[in-house]
Amino acid sequence: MREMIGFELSKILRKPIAWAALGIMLSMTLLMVYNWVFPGYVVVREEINHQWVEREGIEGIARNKEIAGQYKGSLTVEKVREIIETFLFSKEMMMRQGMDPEAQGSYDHNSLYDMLDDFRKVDGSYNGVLPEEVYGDQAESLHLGYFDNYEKTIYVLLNLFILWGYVIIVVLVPVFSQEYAIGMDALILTGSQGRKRCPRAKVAAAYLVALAGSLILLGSVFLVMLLSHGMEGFDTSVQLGELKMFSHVPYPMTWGQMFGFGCLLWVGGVVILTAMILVVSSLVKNSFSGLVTVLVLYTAPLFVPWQRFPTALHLAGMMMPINQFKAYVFEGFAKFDIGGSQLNVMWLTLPVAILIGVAGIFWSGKAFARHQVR
Amino acid sequence: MELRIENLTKLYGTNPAVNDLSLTMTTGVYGLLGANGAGKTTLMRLICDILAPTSGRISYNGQSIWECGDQYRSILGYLPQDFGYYPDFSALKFLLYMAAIKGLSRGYAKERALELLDRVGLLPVKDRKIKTFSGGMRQRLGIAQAMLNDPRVLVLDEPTAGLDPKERVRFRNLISAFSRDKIVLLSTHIVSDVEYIAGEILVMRKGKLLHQGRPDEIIHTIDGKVWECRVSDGQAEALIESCNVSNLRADGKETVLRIISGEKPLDTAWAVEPNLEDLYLYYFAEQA
Repeated sequence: MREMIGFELSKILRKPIAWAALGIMLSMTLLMVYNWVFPGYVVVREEINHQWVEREGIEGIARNKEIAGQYKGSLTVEKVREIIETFLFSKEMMMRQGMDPEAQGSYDHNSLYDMLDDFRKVDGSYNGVLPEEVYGDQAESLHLGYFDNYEKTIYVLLNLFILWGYVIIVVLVPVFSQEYAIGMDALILTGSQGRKRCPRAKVAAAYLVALAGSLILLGSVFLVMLLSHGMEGFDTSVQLGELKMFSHVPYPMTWGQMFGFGCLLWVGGVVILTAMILVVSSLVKNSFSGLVTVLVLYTAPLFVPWQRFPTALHLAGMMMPINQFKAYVFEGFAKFDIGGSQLNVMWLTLPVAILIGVAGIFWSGKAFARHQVR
Repeated sequence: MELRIENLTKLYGTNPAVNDLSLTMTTGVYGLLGANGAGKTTLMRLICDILAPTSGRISYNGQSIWECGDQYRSILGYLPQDFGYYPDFSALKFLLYMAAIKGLSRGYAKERALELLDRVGLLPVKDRKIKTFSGGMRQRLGIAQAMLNDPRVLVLDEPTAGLDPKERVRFRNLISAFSRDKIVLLSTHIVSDVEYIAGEILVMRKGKLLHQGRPDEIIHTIDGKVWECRVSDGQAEALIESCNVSNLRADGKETVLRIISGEKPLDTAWAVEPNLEDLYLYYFAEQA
């Protein structure tokens, strides 16, 4: 079996189109990591003793962490006011720097100040809004701290996983359909292992490529984050972020937990997508029709207004791989009750991925074994 | 050893590709003759269980091939008409892959693959990618893969297509040596290939089996229907238009025509011994 999986892997990975797709993936990963995680766009601007100080890169990260450390803990109105007032630029300094003092709120200060945009006027000063007014009942439980690393890493990963989905499609669609197109189906299906072991090896190789690639992607981006930012911010509330991806999560959750759920959603999405690809690949006549079919199935859910549908259908829509990759689409869901315990809706990915993954293995193998050579 | 086909029918829509065909094959080489669309390829795919019949039964040694499943496939070798391959695989890697598909152990697979590559004359190029091979070399590789598991039932669909005369001789010798105690079914348009090696000829037309028998027996079914005549060039042109001419040969200022006809085409024509090519043209004149 191992030998057969080896053959299938070499068939999958020996295609120029596979290398081209992986090359694009690698370039985009480097570009996204460079732009967002490290060195990324980090500018910390401060007025210290009437001196203008601007820090970027590692220095900027360190200063952001230092500021976040000072205010770490519960989100209170005192802290909000203090952060805004402490880091507010003076009008004179802004004029000297060629900035518009009336639009101070739109300039970068530091992560914490920039994150508090619901509490600022256009001129950058505190607007008097209370945390309860922005975050409702949750305000009391929110935990302030450093968040840049997790927020940007999750943002990068969810975008990269959407792209990775397209790469997987291009690389894996030929797994079965290519055999039909080039006439190898007749040879394989007349072999004694051609209807059981061979499809199993194909499925195993496909999942191996998809999952190994996903883990490499996840691991490498996380490693860059770890080396450049560290693990700090693990316990900061996910609602407190500059990009506002998860600001409407209606229950307490930390960035560390969100990263874990992200991993679950991304890997689950890859499993579901791989199953979809394998089933389509085993049913179509050639790789081109397979490619078009899977591209449509993968991309179309992006354009469906799922939130307008009843909850069950809305949830079903969220289980589509591209929605799984866009982890923030789950932010509006409340926890659901199962056997007396409250569970995050993102956990649903686990049984769905297992179910669809197994169904994909079974169905694609059966379809290939029953394929009629015409 | 017996491969029995009973009342086999395969319909495409309402069109029968194989029509209520019955046939029993024991050890030996069977040459399947028929024009394009006669149903040869469909019949072979049905025998190989890669196409399901509309009705009928195929059994090997009394047991249905569909019930035997993998057991039947383990004694089956098949070379399809449009032989598929992986362009980036080397000849040896391709055979090793096919050996894995056929369930051969890794050690034996390599030994057998090298042996067969040698027998089909591809050993010196075993590490070359298949995409660099000529059509004839690919066909030889296809023949080698079909024989990997030393099949008891070998089905070859147009195995000599693309082979040059020297390669065809090599193929005929290979099949002759291989066919002892085995059932070999091969289809071809090149009549001389089956004439030399087939112990029995099967003639198919419109999905039905027209004749089955030894080459000499089957040829005699058209005794008295093959003629030769010596005519002028002008007459020759007229006869080519109106008769089924299997051969023409210039002889001085005249032309010698070989005509297949139920009746004497000219008073000056004389009857000659038929051969398998005449038989093919007799049955498939329109398609030919």
